Amino acid sequence: MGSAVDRPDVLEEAEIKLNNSDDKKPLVSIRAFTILTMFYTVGTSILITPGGLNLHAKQDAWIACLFGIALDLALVWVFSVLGERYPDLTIIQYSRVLLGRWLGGAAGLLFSAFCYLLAALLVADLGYFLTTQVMSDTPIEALAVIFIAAVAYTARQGMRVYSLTAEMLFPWVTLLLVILLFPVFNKFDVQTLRPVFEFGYIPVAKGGASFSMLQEVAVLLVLYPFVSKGKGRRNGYLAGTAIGGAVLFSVTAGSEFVLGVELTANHVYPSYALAKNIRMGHMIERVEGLLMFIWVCSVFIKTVVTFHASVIGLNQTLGIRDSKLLIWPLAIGLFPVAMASYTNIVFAVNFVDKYWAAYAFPFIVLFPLLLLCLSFIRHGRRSVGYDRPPGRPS
Amino acid sequence: MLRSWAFVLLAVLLMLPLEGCWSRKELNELGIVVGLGIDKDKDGYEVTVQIVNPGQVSTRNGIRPEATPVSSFSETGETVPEAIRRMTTLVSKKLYFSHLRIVIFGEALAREGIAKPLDYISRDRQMRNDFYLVVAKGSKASDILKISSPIDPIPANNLNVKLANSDKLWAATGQITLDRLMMDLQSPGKDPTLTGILIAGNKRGGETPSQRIEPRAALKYSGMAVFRQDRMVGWLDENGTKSLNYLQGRVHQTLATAKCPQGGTLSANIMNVKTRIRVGKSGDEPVINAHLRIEVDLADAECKIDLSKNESLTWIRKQLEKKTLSVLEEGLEQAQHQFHADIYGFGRYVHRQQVGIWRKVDDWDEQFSRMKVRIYPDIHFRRIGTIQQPIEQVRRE
Amino acid sequence: MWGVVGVAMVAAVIVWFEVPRQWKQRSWRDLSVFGVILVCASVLLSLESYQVKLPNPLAGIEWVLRSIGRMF
Repeated sequence: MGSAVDRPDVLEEAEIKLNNSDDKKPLVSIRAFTILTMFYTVGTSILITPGGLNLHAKQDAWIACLFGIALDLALVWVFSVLGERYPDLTIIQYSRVLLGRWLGGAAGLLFSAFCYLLAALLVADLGYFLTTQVMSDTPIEALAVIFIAAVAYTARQGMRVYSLTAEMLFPWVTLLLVILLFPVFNKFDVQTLRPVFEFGYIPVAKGGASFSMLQEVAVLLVLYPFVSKGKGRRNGYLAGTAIGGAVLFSVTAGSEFVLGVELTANHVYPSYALAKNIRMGHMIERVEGLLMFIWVCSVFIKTVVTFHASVIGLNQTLGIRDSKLLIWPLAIGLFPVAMASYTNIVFAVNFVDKYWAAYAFPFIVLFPLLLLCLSFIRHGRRSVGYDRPPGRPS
Repeated sequence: MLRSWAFVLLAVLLMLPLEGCWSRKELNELGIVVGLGIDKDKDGYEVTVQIVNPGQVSTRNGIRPEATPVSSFSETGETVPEAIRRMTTLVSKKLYFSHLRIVIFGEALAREGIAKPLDYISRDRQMRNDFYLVVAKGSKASDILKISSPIDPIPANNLNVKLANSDKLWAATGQITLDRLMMDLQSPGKDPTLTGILIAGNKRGGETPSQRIEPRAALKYSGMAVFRQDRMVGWLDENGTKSLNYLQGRVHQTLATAKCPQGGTLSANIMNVKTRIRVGKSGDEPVINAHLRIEVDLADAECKIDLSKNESLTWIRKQLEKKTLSVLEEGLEQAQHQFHADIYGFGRYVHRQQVGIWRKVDDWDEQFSRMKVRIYPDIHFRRIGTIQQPIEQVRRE
Repeated sequence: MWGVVGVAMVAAVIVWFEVPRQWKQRSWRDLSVFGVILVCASVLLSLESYQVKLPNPLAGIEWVLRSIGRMF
């Protein structure tokens, strides 16, 4: 099977994981995983990225977006190689296999902390969005508490439940996205994209690289082993990222056409401004409240996945047996972290624009790549499967 | 057993926030603002709002003759939001701007600059993108909002629909929404323009709802205000506005007149205008070539002309082309030499098609004034209506 | 004062739901981690309800990144 390094320790964890899943049936089907990935990629990026891309790359924002999506897909491809090498383990678990018990454990803990902070930031993002655009008299704390309660409850129900929920929400969100993009077809004018590469390749490359760090696709490696095994899993990971990327591209390019570069760069939430422009034959007007569903859904699912990933990470690092135990205490902790992090919207936008890419890079790019290299060095070219722990009937 | 009771309690508790307590606004607490007027005041702004009285608009409950369908209130303040807040001492309802139909700037304010008052209109979350912005000509914005309208009980709505319709059917007006205005203000290749509105008739008489068939005063759109950056520099007349709309390709339908070969005038319905702007180079200077493809139908022929001959149509075409060219060049002349403002957006085309030249230019408006613009109208005649020969041609002498 | 009461109530509800199962299984390790995290979260939450200014993790990250940037 595999090398004998740390085997007893890891095996016990594999058993724990299998204990908590319903033995033979996988927790997440491939289709559900694809949809989860799509929602995850869209997440808060649909709210915050068009503005930043238009600000830095100007009329080349669409190229920067494509470049960023290509980077994301390349990363996903590499991560799926890593995931397939340890088909039953989460990234936290095989970091312990590869880096040793203490170093791997510390790395896993840091990764979980990253996911936890990310979940808090997502909560704060949604809170600011709702209070800026719709319910401006409501204190952001009230919205955050209700949202966190919903996220915690969903995470506690388990992966099967929320992956099926995502599958259920998918057609509705798709319908609303199609409606959102209607005004784009009217205003589609290729001339607005000229001149191409006016300021050279560097702003486009920087914009694209910064954009790709906002999707945090590596976090899905924590969910990867719970998906049905086989070739479809890897394709699902790629396809979900691609579809999510297509959505982001449409919204970014669309707001370039409808609102124009300067306006998109100046709006705090350009996709909402895009929604305000929907006017079809005097009938479908003023629907931006309905389209809120898109953003709330995608942020909700991303928050559930990220939060659950951080809980799983903590469980596996500390060897906790009951996977659902820590969900509520950690959820309570999300609230003060979220409120403390985004003191005001200017600070938030500034942080995401200038510091997020540099901060996230070691966690979501370097760390998995390092593990991949170590994996090739330690275990060679074979894939290390732990499909059947000995002593357990298949 | 206990668990199910706990769930029931939880469900009931969860229903409480569903009433939406915090940000709730009851409908009868809202003062729906349909018109907003901003004038210059000595310390800041004088803001006028036109609010709907919902009971008076519907005809079902019996309208009291002394109450009007809308009410207008004015208040001053150092900034626009301050004036609006101060207005709560005047108005019994909370002002709600999502149904705004028209925003009117006073001419004095427009000449000083509209960027400052525009910030509130852009930033506020209630404002949307479906209202039009205009400049008051010859009166204050607050006066405009006091004139009642015969057809539509809500004057601001009347203004909105009027502008939209006349923009579709007559090339001498332009509907400008907030997004377009912001785009024009922020992008360096185009100067903004706003339609002008004036009170035609007796200003005082127009303030009371009319019992006469012909209203005492009507609000009329006339010309367009030309801005350099955000400051107004002058008015475009009818021909100037036509040239603006033609060269921007924003004409849906309009009417043009031309002279007949033996005296008299005919009118042609302009059905479709496609504008193509190509930027050429002459040395280091940009040259604009505007190709217009115009489809026309004959609307009326008030002269003797034999419309069964092809030569007549050719003559009409040539006359129309000459007329179009002269109108457009007159407008261009005004923009280039009188106002020095690139209201056509040629700068955007230069930016897109000749980046090298664009980079070298410091002051685009100045470059625009010197620039050579060549216009090539190309008229295609299609239909002539339901009769063939003009009445003048076939009547008994 | 009501903030702390609210937090204590929430913590009590969580304990009431989660702890009995762990007690029966005698998983002391899990319970101790649970306890530590619950206490930390409750303390943070109570501080937040008193409007105490909690340290901002993002500001810390910015400081670290800026220091690293200065070194190059």
